Amino acid sequence: MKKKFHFLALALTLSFAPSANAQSDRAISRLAFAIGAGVTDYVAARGASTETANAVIGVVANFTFSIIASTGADRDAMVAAISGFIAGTSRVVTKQGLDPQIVSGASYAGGSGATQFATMSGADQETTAEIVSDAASATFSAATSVGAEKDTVVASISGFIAGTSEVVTEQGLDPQIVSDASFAGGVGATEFATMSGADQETTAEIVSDAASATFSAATSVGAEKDTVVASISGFIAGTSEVVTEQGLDPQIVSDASFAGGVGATEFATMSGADTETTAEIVSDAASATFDATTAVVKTEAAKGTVIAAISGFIAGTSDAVDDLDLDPQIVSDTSYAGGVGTTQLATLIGADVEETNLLISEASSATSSTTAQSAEDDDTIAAAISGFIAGTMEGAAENDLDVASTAEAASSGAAEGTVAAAIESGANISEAAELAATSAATAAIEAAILIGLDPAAATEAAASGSSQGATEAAIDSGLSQDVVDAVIDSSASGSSDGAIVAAEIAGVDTSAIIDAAESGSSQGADAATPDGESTIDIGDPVITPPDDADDVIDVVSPEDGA
Amino acid sequence: MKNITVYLFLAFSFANLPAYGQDAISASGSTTTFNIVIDDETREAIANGDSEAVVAVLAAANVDPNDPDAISKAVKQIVDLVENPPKED
Repeated sequence: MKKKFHFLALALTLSFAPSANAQSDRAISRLAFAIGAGVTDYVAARGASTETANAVIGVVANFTFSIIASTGADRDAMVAAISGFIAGTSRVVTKQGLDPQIVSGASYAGGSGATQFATMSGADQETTAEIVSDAASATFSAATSVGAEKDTVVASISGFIAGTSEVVTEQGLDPQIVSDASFAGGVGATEFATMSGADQETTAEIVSDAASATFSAATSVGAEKDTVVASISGFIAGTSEVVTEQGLDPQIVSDASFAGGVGATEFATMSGADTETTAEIVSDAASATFDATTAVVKTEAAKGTVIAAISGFIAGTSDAVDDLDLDPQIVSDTSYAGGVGTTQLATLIGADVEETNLLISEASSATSSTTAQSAEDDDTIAAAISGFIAGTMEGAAENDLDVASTAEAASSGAAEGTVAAAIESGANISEAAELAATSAATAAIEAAILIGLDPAAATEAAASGSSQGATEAAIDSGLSQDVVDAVIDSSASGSSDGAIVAAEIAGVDTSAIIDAAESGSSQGADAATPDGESTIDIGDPVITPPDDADDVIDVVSPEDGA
Repeated sequence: MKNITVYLFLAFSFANLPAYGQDAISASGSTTTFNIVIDDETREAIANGDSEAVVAVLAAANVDPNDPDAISKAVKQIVDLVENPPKED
C-alpha cells in the first residue's frame, strides 16, 4: 500500500519557523543544487539501481524542500530551492550518462512540494497556481541551463506535472494549478528544443515526447479527469505560445496536440470509461485545448497555430481510437469540438465572411488530411470529417454566421484534405473523394435538421464544397483529366449516396435531396475547373441504408444530449 | 529544543514519502544519527553549490546509499551545519 504523503509537518514547521532566512534566493539555489547533485552522485556512484536512485532522490528532495521551508523561506526561496535541487540532479544525470528517469523522482517531489508549500502557507488557488507555475518554469529552465539532454528535460517536466497533479487531485484543488504548471511544461520543452539548436522536425519530436510523457504521468498518478484535461490543455497552450512568439513551425503544436488526443483517449480507456463517457472526456479535453490555445494566440496571424492544435488533437484521437479499437463516435465528438472551436476563433479575431470561410476550410482540410494519414479505418476518417462539419455548422449558428456557407467551406476543406492525403500516400483517390463527400452530406443533413436549416440547402452546400475541394486537390496535384473526372464523379456519387441515406433516416423527402446533391456537386466542380464547365456522370444513386440506424455516427453535439 | 522536536517530527513524516512511481522505502535506520563534521572550507564549498563536497561528507559518514531515511537525515545535518555553523569557543 502506497503511503500517503502529508504536509502537516511542514505546516507545524512553518508555524514555528524563525524569521526569514537572510540568505539570498541565489544562495539557497546553490545549496539545493549541491545537495541534489551530491546525493545523486553519491547514490549512483555506489551502484544503486535506477529504481532505487529514483526513490531515494525523490525522498531526499522532499526532505530538502521541507528543511528549507522550515527556515521560513518565502515563495521565491522555495522556487530557488526546488529548481536548484532538480538542476543539480539533472546535471549529474547528464554528466554521468545516468538513466534520465532518476530526475523524475526529484521533479515529482518538486511539483508536489511546490503545491503543498503554497497551500500550507495559506495561498489562495490563484496564488498557488502562480507559485507552482513559477517553480515549474524555473525548474525546466534550470534543467536546460545545466546542459541536460532531451530525455532528462522530458523527465523533469513530466515528473513535476505528475507531482502537481497528484497533490491537486488528493487535496481537491483547482485543476487550473495543473494547467498553469503544464503550460510551463509546454513552454519549457519548446524552449529547450530551440535553445539546443534542434531543427523544426526535431523540436516537434522533443515537444511531442514531453507531452506524451506528461500526459501519461498525470494519468499514472491517478489524477482525475479535470486534472488530466488541465495538463493537456495547458501544455499545448504553452507550446502554442512559444511557437507563435518565435515564429516556429505550427507542426510542433500539431504533434503536441496529437499527443493530447492520444493521452485523453488513453486516460479515458484506462479509467474504464464506456464509449459515451470516453467521448465526453476526450471532447472536453479537445474543447479545453482549443479554448486555451485560442486564448494565447488570438490573432489572425497565428491562426495556423490554432489550426495545428485542432487538427493534431483530432488526428491523435483518431489514431488512439483505431489502435484501441474504440467507437468512432469518440472521434466524431472530438472533431465536433474542433469545428465549434474554429468558428469561435473566427469570431474572436473578427474575421469577415470570406476570412471565416477560408479559416474553416483550412482547419477542415488540416483535420481530414492529418486524420487520413494517421487513421486506417474509413469509419474513423468519416467520423472526423462529419464531426468537424457538424461542429462548424453548430458553431456558425451560435455565432450568427452563415451556416450554409460555413458548411460548404468545411466540406470543401475536408474533401481537399482527404484527397490530398490520398494522393500523398498513394491511396485510392476516387474512394477518398467519395468518402469525404458522403461524410459531408450526412453530417450536413443531420446538423441542418438540428439547427433548423433547410436540409436541401445544407445538402447543396456540402455537395458543392465536397466537389470543389476534391476537384481542386486533384487539379492542383497535376493529375490527368481522366483522374480528375473520376474524382468529380466519385464526389458527386458520394454526396448523393450520403445525402439519401441521411435523409431517409431523418424522414426527409429524398427527391429534393437528390436534386440538391446533384446541383451542388455540379456547382462545385464548375467552380473548381478552369473553364468553369464540367461533366458529371454519377449513375444511379447507390442507396445502402444501414440495417440499424444506431450504426450511423451521431454528429450531434454531446452537449445537446442527442 | 523546539526546532529539534520539529525536525524529528519532519524526519518521521518525510521518511515515508513515496517517490514518484515507487512505494515508500523501508524506514530502517530512521534513528541513525551521523557524526557529520564540516569544516569551514567544506561548508563554503557546499554553500557555493559544490556537489563533490556533499559527496565527500556523505562518504565520510558512511551513509547507506540505498536508504532514503539515512541520506535525508544526513542531508538535514549538512544543511543545518551549512546554514548554522557551530560557533567557535
